[in-house]
Amino acid sequence: MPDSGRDLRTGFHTALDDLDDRFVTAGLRVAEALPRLSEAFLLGDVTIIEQAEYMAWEVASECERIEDDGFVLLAREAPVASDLRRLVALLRMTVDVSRSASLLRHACLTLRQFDPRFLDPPLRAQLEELSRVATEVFVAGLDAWRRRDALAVTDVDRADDAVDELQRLLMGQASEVDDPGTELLVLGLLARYYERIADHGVEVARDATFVATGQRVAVGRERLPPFAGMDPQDRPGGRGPDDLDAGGES
Amino acid sequence: MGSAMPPADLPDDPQRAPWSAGGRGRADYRSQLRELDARLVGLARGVETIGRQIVDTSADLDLDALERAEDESDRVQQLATTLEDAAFTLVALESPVAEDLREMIALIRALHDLERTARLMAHVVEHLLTLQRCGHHRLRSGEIGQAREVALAVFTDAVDAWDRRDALAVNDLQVRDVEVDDLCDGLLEHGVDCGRATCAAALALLARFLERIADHGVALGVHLSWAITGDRVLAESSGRR
Repeated sequence: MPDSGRDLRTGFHTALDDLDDRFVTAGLRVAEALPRLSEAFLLGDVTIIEQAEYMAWEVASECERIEDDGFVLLAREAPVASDLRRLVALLRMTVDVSRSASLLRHACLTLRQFDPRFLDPPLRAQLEELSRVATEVFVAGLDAWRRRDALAVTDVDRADDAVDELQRLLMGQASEVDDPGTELLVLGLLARYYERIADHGVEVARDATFVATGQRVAVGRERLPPFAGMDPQDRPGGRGPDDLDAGGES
Repeated sequence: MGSAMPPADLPDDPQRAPWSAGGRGRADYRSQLRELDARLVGLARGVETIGRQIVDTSADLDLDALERAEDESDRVQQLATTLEDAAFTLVALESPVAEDLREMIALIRALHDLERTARLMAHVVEHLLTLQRCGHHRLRSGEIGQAREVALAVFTDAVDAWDRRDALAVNDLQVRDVEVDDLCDGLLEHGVDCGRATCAAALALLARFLERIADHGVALGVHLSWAITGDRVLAESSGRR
C-alpha cells in the first residue's frame, strides 16, 4: 500500500519540477533570443523591436506566474533543506531571467536612436564581441542550473570579468572617435545592458551552487553570509539556512 | 527580531480552548512579520542616506563620497539577503495565507527593489563624479539636479508610503515617475558638449540609473498596494510588475 506521506511529497516534488521546467523554458526563451536579436540589431533591423517587446512581455508574464505559484507552494508545502533551497533559488532567479529579457528589449529599442551599421568598424566589432560574450555568460549560467553544476559559478564569474573588460575596451575605443554624437550615449547604454545580462547569468550559476551546497559563493563585490549579524534565537522558529541541511530531505 | 516564543502578555492557560493555541502562534507570526517589516523600513532609510549624497549640492562630490556610497550599498545588500532568508524561512515554517502571505511576498519583493536601488545610487554617485570632473557639465547641473531630486523624491515617498501602509500612494508615484522619465529623456536629448566618451557614457547611464531608481520606488508602491488590496496595479515603467 502506498505511503500517503510519500504520495503527498511526490505531489510536491512534481509541482516543484514543473516550476523548474517552466523557469528553464523562460530562460531558454531569452537564451535563444539573445544571439538572434543581437545579430539582427547589428544589421540595423528595426523589425526586431516588436519581437523583442513581445519576447520580454511573454517572459515577464511567465516569470510572474512562476513566482506566484512558487510562493503558494512555499506556503502550503513548508519545504525544508534542499527542497527549500531549490524553491527559494527559483523564486530569486525569475527576477534574473525577467530582467535579462527586459534588458535585451532595451538594447533593441536603441535602434530608434542610432543605426549600428554606421558605427566605425572597430567599434562595431567590439560591440559584436561584447554581445557575443555576454550571451555566452548568460547561457552558461542557465546551463549550470539545468545541470545542477555547483562548480560552474567560478568559470561563469570569470567569463563575466571578460564582459566587464570588453565594456571598458568598447568605451575606450569610443573615446577615440572624432566628433562623436548620439552614438556615444547609446553605446554607453548598450554596454551597460549587456554587462547586466551577463551579471544575471552569474546570479543563476550562483543559485545552482546555493541549491547544491547551501552556500552563497561571493561573486564580484558581494559578500553574502546568510543571517549575518542575526542572533540564532532571533531567527524565525530558531531556524535558518544553517538548518537547511539538518535532518531534512536530501 | 521576535523569536518563536509567545508574547509575554498571553497567559499560558492549560484550560484555554484548543483553537487559541493556533491564535497565539499566528500572533507570533504577525509579530515576526512586523519585525521584518520594521527592519525593511530601516534598510530603506539606509538607502535614502545614499540618495542624500546624490541631491546634496552644497559641496562637490569626492572619492570619499563614492566610497561611502559603495560601502552603504554593500551593507544594504548584505542586510537585504539576511532579511530575505528570514522571510523565506518564515513562510516555509508558518504557511501564511491570504493577506499574511501577500504581505510577506511583498516584503520579499521590496527587499529586492531596495537592494537594486542602493546599488544604482552608488552608480549615480560614481557617474556624477565623472561629470563633475568635466568642467563643461557644471552648466548642466540644473537639469541633472532636477532629475536626481525628483527620482530620489519618488523613492523617498514610496518608502514613506510603505511605512504608513498607504495603498493608494502608488497612483501619485506613477505620475511622478513619468516626470522622471521625461527629465531623463531631456538629459539624453541635450547630449554632451565636450565630446568626451566618458562624459557621454556617464550622462547616458546617469539618466538610466535615475529612471530605474524611480521605477523601483513605483515598484514599492505596487507591492504595497497588492499586499493590502490583493489587486495588482499595472506599472509599465516598472521592471517587475
